[in-house]
Amino acid sequence: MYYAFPGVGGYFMLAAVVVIFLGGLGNMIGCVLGGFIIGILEVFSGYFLTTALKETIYFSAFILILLIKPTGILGLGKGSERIGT
Amino acid sequence: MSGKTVWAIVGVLFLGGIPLFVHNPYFLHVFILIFLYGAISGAWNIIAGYAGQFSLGHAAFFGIGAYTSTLLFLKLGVTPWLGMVAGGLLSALVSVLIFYPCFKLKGIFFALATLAFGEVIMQVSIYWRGLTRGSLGLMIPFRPSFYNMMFESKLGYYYITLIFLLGIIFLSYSIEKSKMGFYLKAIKDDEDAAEAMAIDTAKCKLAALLISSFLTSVGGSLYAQYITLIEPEVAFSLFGISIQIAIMSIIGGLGTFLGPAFGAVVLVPLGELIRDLLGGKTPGIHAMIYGIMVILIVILLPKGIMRWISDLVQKRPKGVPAKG
Repeated sequence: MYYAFPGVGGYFMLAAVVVIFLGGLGNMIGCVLGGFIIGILEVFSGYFLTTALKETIYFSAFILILLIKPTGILGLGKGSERIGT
Repeated sequence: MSGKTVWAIVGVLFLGGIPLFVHNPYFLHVFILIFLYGAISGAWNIIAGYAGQFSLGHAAFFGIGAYTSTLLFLKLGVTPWLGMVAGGLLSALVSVLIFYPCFKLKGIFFALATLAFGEVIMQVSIYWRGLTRGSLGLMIPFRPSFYNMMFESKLGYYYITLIFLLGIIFLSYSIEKSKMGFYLKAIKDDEDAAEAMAIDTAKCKLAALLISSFLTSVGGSLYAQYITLIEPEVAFSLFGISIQIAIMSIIGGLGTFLGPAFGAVVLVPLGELIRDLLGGKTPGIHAMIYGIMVILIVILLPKGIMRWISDLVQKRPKGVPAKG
């Protein structure tokens, strides 16, 4: 699926972080939900548009969803952004 | 004249006089990089250090500045002096459209949304080959003249970047001492409490954001004129620009007007030195040593170099917390 080389982590790091924050910090089900959203967006935008823009699509979706729900889809609500700080 | 003014004048004269003694082009190049990175880091510090809005998308403004001035120059022949202002205004506009709505996100959510925004801009600039030539990059033909903002010797770039850095330091100092600086610090400490104290938090953050994005973009234009080759992976680089300037501010001292410059003074020569000593022998090891040094500095001087120096100068007894 992917080649193994020292820099391969970079592909997954940003996507993984986006998934967690999209679903809501500190919520396991949110992670799964965020994973589905990002994965489906990535594959479909690659198929219907072009693979060069797949990151643009899912990062834009990430920003838009955060603007509607500032702590993630299943986030714990106001104040939960302080988790981990 | 107070002691501070004297020190400031001595410092400016010293920096302005360095080229009288240093003629080696490579050393001047290192100085230019220090000034440039210090200046951009200072611009980032205004929104992140004072106002506490930890942006990781400043590479977007840097790249927009670099591309706007370069494209205006290449396609329309507009002088970079004007292109730089045009890029700054475009960046300010983009920052209002994208970052301003993100202000309702807090803490790390804001950082990630801005990071995502920076990545989006980079991907678009790679994809939009008609305008930016994609990953091939844009090359500026070297025709030295004041109008083209290109110089045969490094001195021209040296003084332009120095003036840019001094301007940003002075601006940060004025903000720090003004009412707005105190408002921004209040917002950083507790935004809800600041709002309750009748501070217009939205307006203050917007003002800091506009200044910060405009200046970052001007830095990008200067960089493009100096390097004369820009490509999306460098101009919009997450690790090369966004995170690098954040590290410099953090090491130098977040929310201090001289901190970012001190951070650049430490980190740029450190990177160049390690690359020179080790880069040729074992490829890749210089990045490792650089990373370890950054970690060590952060652990040993958690408050930043600037506050460490001011603690030393004031000889405050141990255990007494710093002011502000």
